Amino acid sequence: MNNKRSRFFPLFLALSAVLIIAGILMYAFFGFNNAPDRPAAYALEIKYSVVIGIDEAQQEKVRALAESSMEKHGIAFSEGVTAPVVDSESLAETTDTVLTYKLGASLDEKELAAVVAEINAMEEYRGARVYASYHFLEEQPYFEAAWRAAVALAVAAVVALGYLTIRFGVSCGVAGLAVTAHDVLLTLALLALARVPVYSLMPAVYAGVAAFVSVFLWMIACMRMRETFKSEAYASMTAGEAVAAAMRAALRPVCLTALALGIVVLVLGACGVFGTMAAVLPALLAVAVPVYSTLLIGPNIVVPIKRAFDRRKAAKKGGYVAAKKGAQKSE
Amino acid sequence: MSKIKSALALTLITVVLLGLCFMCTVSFSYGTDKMYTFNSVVSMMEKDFMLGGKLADGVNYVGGGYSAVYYPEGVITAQEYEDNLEALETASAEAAADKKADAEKAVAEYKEKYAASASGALYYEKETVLEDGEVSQEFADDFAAAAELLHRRVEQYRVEGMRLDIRDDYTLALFIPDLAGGQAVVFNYFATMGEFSIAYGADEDSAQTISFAKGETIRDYVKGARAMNNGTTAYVAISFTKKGKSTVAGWTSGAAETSGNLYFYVGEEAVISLPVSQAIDQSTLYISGSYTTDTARAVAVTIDTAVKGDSPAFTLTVGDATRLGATFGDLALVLLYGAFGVLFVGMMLFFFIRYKGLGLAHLYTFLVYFFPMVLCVWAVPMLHLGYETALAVLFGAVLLSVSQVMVFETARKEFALGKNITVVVKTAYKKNFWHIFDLHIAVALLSVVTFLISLGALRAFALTLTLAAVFSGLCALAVGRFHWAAFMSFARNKGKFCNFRSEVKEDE
Repeated sequence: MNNKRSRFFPLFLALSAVLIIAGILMYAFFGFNNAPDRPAAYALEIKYSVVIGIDEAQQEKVRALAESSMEKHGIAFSEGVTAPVVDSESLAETTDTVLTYKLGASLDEKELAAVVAEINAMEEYRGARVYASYHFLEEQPYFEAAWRAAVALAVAAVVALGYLTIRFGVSCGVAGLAVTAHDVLLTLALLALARVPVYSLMPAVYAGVAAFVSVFLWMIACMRMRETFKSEAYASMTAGEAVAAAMRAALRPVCLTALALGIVVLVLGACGVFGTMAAVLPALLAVAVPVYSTLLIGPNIVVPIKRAFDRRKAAKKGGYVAAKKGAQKSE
Repeated sequence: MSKIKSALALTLITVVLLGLCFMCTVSFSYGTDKMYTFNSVVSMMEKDFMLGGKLADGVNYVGGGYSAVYYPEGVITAQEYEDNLEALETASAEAAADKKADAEKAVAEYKEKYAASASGALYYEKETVLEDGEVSQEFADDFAAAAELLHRRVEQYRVEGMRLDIRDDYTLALFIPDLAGGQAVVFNYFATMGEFSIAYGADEDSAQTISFAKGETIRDYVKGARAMNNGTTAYVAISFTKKGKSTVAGWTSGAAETSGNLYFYVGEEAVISLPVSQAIDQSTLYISGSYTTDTARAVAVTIDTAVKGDSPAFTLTVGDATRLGATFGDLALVLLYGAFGVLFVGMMLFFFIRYKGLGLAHLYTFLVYFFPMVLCVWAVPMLHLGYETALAVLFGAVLLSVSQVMVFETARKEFALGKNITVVVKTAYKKNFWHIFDLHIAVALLSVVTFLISLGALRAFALTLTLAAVFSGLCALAVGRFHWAAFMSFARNKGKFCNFRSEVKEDE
C-alpha cells in the first residue's frame, strides 16, 4: 500500500501501543474515574422523626437551613434527595423521611459537624424532631464482572473472527482479531487515561460496544476487499494496491455506518439528564476508535499476510506449470 | 405480486402492527371508577434502577431501590443513643422521690455504657467494642470478616446495581435495586452469620447436630447450595458429600415411622426447617416451599457462602431501610422514550428523502424488527429496560438499516443500467445476500459468546444484541424484500416510487 496510510503505520501502531500501555498502568494504579458512583464520599442525612407530620413548608425550611448552613461552611453539595424510611422486614413505609445530600470525599469534618449542630438546633415542630448526622461511605468494589467481561470478549472475538477467517480468508481474520482486540483495549485505555467519569457498571458495556462496532466496520471493509480481490483489475495489482483500492471503496460506507452509530449514542446520551450523559456518551469513544483502526490499522495488517499468501499461490502455480512443462518435454 | 394479494397482505400486516403498537405502548384505566388498568408491555417491562418514573397508573414508581444499614452488636446510631438517653432522663425527672436515685443511676449507667465515635454518628458499647478507649483489634477483625462475607454474598447474588458500602468505619450499607425483588428477605438472610451446621430431631431443642471428628469441617459433609427453578417453583438445592449423604441417611432412616425435622443453621439461625417423613438418601436435596426465585437465591447464597468460606460468628442487625429514587431522576424514563422517538423520526426522514416510497417498506420492516424486540425485553427474565439494552436495540436497528441501504443502493445502480425493476430487486438481494448474512452471523456469534460468559450489564447488552442480530437478519433478508414487493405493486412508475433513475433511458 504505497500511500500515507502505510507510511505512517508504524506511527499509528506506536501511538496505539503507548496509549494502551499507559491506559493499563493508569487503570492498575487508579482504576476508572468512577466519580458518578461516588465510591468514597460523605453524605449529610437529615431525618424527620415525625409523629404528627412535617408539612411541606416546614420541609422547605429544613432544606433551606441545611443548604444555607453548608454554603456558609464552604461545603459543596448535590441536590438533596428525600426518601421515605421503610421497615426492613416488610418494606412498609413508616412516617419518617430522610433528606440526603451527597458531598465530596475530602471535607473538613469540623465544618460538617458544625452544619449538623446548626440543623439539630432547630426547634421541634408540632412534636416532630429533625435529626441530622453525617456519614462517610466507602464502596466495596467487585471484580468478578470485570474479569469475566474480559474473558467473554476475548473468546467471543476469537469465535466471531474465526468465522471471518472461514468466509474472508486468513488475512482478514487475523487483521480483524487484531483490530477488535486493539479497539477494546484502546477504548478502555482512553477512558482510564482521560479520566472520563463513568459508572462502575458501564466500562464492560463500552468494551462490548467497541467489540461490536469493530466487527461491524471491519466486516464492511472485508466485503469491499473481497469484491476488489475478485475483480479482474486485481490481476494487475500488488497486494498493497488492491487493499488500498478496497479501502478507498470502503471509506464511505465505513464512515457513514460509524456516523449512524455515533448519532444513536449521541441522541441517547443527549436526551437525558447529566447522569444519562455520563452513562452513555463515553460510548462515543467505543464508536470512534474502531473507525480509526478499521481505516488505518487493519488494512496495513492485511497487506503483508495477503502478499505472503499471493507469493505462495504464485509459487504453487509456477511449480505446477514447470512440472507440467517438464512432463510434456519428457514425453 | 398482484395488487390484490399485496393489498390483502399489507392490510393484514398493518392490523398486526397496529395491534402490537397498541399492546406495547398504550396503558389505560377502565371499568366502574376506573377500577381496572390495561398495562402496556412497555409499562410492565422491568426497568433499570437508574431510570425512574411513575407508571401509567400514576401511583406506582419504578426505578431506584432499597438501602438498609447493618449494625454490629454493640454499635448504635447517635439518634438511638440520644432517644434512649432522653427517655431515661425523662423517666428520672418524673420518678417518685423514692425511685429517683435508681432512675438517676440508670441514666448515669447508660451514659457510662456508651462512647461516641469520632464522627459522632455512632455510639459504641464500651464492653463489646472498645479497649482502652479505642475500637479493639478483635472487634475490628470480626467486623472486617463480616464485611468480607457480606461482600461475597452480594457478589454471588449477581444483581446488577447492588452495592455494598462500609459506612462510618463500622457499619455496612447495602443497596438492592428495585428490579431485584425480595429485598426484605435478602436484607435479613444476608445478616445471618456464623458457621453452617445441620441438625435432625423432633424439634430444635432436641435436634442432634453433626459432630465433627478431629480436623473435620462442614465441607466434609456439604459441598454447597444453589438456587434452581422448575417452571414457577423455586428450589434450594443442597449438595452433600458421601459422608454428608450417609450421615443424613442414617439420621432419617426411621423417619417413615417417626417423622422429624431437618434443620439447616447458619450460626444460631435456622435458615431452613424441613419436615421429614421418609428417609433422605440422596446426594442433592431439593427443598421447595414458599420460595420465590429471589428468596431461594438469597437462602442458597447465604448457605453456600457460609459453607465455602469463613463465616464469623458476628451479629449484624438490620436497621430501618430507605426507599431510594432512581439515580437519573424521575424524568429519565420519559427522556429515554424521547430519544427513541427522535432517532426513529431521523431514520425515517433519511429513508423517505433518499428512497421515497421505499421508505414505507423500510418503515414496515423496521416495525417488524422493533416490536418483537420490545416483547423480548419484556418477556425474557434476564432482560430489563436500561441504557445497555436500549443501545443494543438501537445498534440492531442500525444493522438493519445498513443492510437495507446496501440492498437499495445496489438496486439503484442496477436500475441505472436500465434493467427491469423485478430483475433489479432480484439482483440486489442476490448480490448482498452473503454480505448481510455474514454481517449478522459475525455479530450474533460475538454477542452470543459474550452473553454466555459475561455478567451484569454486558450480559444484558450481549443478549439483547444477539436477539437484535437474529431479528435484524430475518427482517433484512426476508421481510424487507416482501414489503418492497408488496408496496411496489401499487406503483405505476416503479423507478419513481423507489427514487431510482435509469441512465440508459435518459440517454435514449
